Amino acid sequence: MTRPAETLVNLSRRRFVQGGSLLVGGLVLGVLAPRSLAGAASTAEGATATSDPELGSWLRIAPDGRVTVWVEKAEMGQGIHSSLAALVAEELDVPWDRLAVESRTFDGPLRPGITGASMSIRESFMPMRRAGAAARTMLIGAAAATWAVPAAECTAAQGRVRHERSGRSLGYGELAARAAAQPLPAELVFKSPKAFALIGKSLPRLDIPAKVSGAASFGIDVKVEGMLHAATGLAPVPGGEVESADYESARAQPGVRGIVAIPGGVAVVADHYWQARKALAKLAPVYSGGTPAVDTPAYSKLLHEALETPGLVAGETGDADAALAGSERVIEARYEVPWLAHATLEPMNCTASVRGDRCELWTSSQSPSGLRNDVGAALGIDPEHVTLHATLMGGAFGRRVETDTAVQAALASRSVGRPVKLVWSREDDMRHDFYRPACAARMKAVIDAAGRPSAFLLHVAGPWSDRTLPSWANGAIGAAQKRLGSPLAPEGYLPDFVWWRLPQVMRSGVDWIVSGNAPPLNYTVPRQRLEYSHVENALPVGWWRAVPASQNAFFVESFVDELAHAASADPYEFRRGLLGGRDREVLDRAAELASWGRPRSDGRALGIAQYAMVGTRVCEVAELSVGESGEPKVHRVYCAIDCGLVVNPDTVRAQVEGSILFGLTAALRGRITVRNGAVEQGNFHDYRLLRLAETPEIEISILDSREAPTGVGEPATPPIAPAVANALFAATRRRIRTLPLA
Amino acid sequence: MPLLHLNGTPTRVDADDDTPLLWVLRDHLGLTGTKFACGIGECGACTIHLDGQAVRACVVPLSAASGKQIRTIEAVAAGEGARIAKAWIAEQVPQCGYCQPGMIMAVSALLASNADPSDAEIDAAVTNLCRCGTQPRIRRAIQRAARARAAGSTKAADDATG
Repeated sequence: MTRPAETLVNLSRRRFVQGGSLLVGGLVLGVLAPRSLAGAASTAEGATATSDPELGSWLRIAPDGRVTVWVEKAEMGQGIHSSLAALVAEELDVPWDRLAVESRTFDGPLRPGITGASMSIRESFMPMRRAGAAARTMLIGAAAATWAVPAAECTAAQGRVRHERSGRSLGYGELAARAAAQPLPAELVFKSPKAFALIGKSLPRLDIPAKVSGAASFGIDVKVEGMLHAATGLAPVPGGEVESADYESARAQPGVRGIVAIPGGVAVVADHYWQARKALAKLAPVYSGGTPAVDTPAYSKLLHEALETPGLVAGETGDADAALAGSERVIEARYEVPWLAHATLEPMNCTASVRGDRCELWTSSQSPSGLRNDVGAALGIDPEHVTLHATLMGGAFGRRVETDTAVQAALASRSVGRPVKLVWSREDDMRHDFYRPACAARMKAVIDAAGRPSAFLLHVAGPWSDRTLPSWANGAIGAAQKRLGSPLAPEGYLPDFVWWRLPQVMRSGVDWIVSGNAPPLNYTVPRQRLEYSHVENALPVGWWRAVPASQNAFFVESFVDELAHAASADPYEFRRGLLGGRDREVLDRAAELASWGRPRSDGRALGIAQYAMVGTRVCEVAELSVGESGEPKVHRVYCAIDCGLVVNPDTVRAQVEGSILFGLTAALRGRITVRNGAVEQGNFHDYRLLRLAETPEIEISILDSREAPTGVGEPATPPIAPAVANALFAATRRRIRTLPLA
Repeated sequence: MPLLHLNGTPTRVDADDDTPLLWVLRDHLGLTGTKFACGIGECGACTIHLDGQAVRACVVPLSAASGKQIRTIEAVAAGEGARIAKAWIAEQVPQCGYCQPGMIMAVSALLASNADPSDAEIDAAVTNLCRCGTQPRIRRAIQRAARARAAGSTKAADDATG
């Protein structure tokens, strides 16, 4: 076990400014980056491995007994702030209503790390518990010293330390200052899962009351003294620029303070946002240049052409070719999925204040170091001089790992010499996203005499996502990769793909965003191969909820359904025969929940699909009927999930509901298309989200587990599209192989 | 300088007549609970009450609010919509939370005119968008708030869910 001294630091004596106020008094413990990571980075620099490790999150027990946790993970709706606070509170033994969580400020040294890939609980499960356990031990130590009794005679519960024999007790608030003088414990004692009082309970989320009253402050709500407002005009063609504009008319508009060239277009800065928008209309920029994105019909053709010749082999088990060549029962099919936008409800925005060689940012980010790195580079200043005040996020889903808007805001602020809040229109947001890639797939499989697949080939063709790397694979990671040329793997800290997949991608030319989370399948198929073909397109590609599983699950799980039917088998039984262990338990649970096999009335039909990613297993059954118009109506979704030990069951349910509806929206409606080199859709009338009336009922069953927690932000998204497509086949005997379905 | 009747208080605002109420509220008056998301009246994140009617403030110019009572989430959540806010907390509805003020404003107007809406009436009245997928909980929270209203107390809304 790691010693506390390596992972925690007593910050009680440091001056701590957070959110503009100085924190004085109490006990403050910081959670450090794993030494292996800091060490690796500085070794790469040729320096010693003892450079000051950087601070991640910290907790403070105030003299009034309130406990505040400042976390580095971004709250984008997934409930991570409350779950991390619960981990601290569990080991600290403090009542839930005394907890508060804040987004931290990022300054000083850059530290790699993102919020995403369903990794936060996995990464933070032990560090947050360590902080809580250490603080508890120090509070007990302080009480024991006060009473001059052995610490072993003292107990802590509900925010108080007690000495039973003498009947004395002191609250954590009263003890906090004295606890700050205690040494960090040499060893930590953690609660056994049986003793958990908060972990595993559906505690009410701490962020919800403010989100109901209207008081919650998102990036777009930030107010900074002297702030101006900016609206943007962005070239529709990727990489395009402003060729001409009516600067004179725009400058003459009321309130206009500046017109600034920014990457991708122009920003109009004014006293008020609406003034900026009106002046932008007068500016009427005409754009030129750039690299037109390939129009959708042409790109679809290119993708399918690429599938005609063998691709790069990204993974192989057994000799799939031999099996395919030697068999007469080869099943083959092609599938395709479109580009998808994130369409977070809060449009991209950032408030920036540049003064000399310093920059302050107020925004939300899934990649704080990436943001500071890119803004520093754009301004030509040291990224350590870029401070980020992180806010709540009005949705993220991978969009907010990118840094484009912050760079624009910083450049606008420097140009006008005032703080600037830059807010994209919905149209800017929809047309300048980093999209879930449009891909096509060709699959082949052999069914043997026993009716089981003996070989499975998946060939995926899609765009190359390298242009997204600099923004999230921020300075420190990029530098380490380049110098070392080999991955570093501090297990459980950074998403595994950052360390393992990135260099693999760089070396092999296989794009992970397109081909990741694909074979080897969790099915028992002796011979499998994954091939990848790159088809260039100028449209930026990025992280999306469960990318790349969002498309690969649709391909694989639809095709497995085709195999079941080809083998004249029930789709559930067919899968069951190919799955073992927990995968099979999850499948069985979902089938049971849905009463699979029970005949439905009213033309309703069921479809099933399962997928595993980030260590989480999910199976979903969709129940739908087809209306007279031919459009499917999904009535109900049944979902079973195994995500290891559950920190907050209600949060897991909320994430499963959200992931299913995110995937269902894409399956039924989602489509970004390119015409004349630019994205066609611009707002919610042509990129439609499901409304209340179109939302199915969702039944969820969480499997009991004592295994380490995995992730729940994404894994329920991938199975829904194939589950619905498979149900549609059951209802109509028509196999739909492209999305969206409706 | 136009005079607004905002959350029960006469308020003067220095903005052009064609400025959408959304930006008047957010930008000129600092009431940021009303959210910008689409700008075309499609998503409902900016829903406010104008003389008791739910309207989308991004497509209502300042000039159209003259002489009318404006109410925003800041007043409604603590006032006539308190039962709804409590139901929202009891059902743990919000995820990112960005759309929720607009949702609550739409629901508040609905329940004021229809104390016991059917599912179909809820579907027709609450067309706001949520990207996080809180819709199943929104429906439950509306039903909970309606029950609380019928019970004439906030008790039903206070009962926590299991």
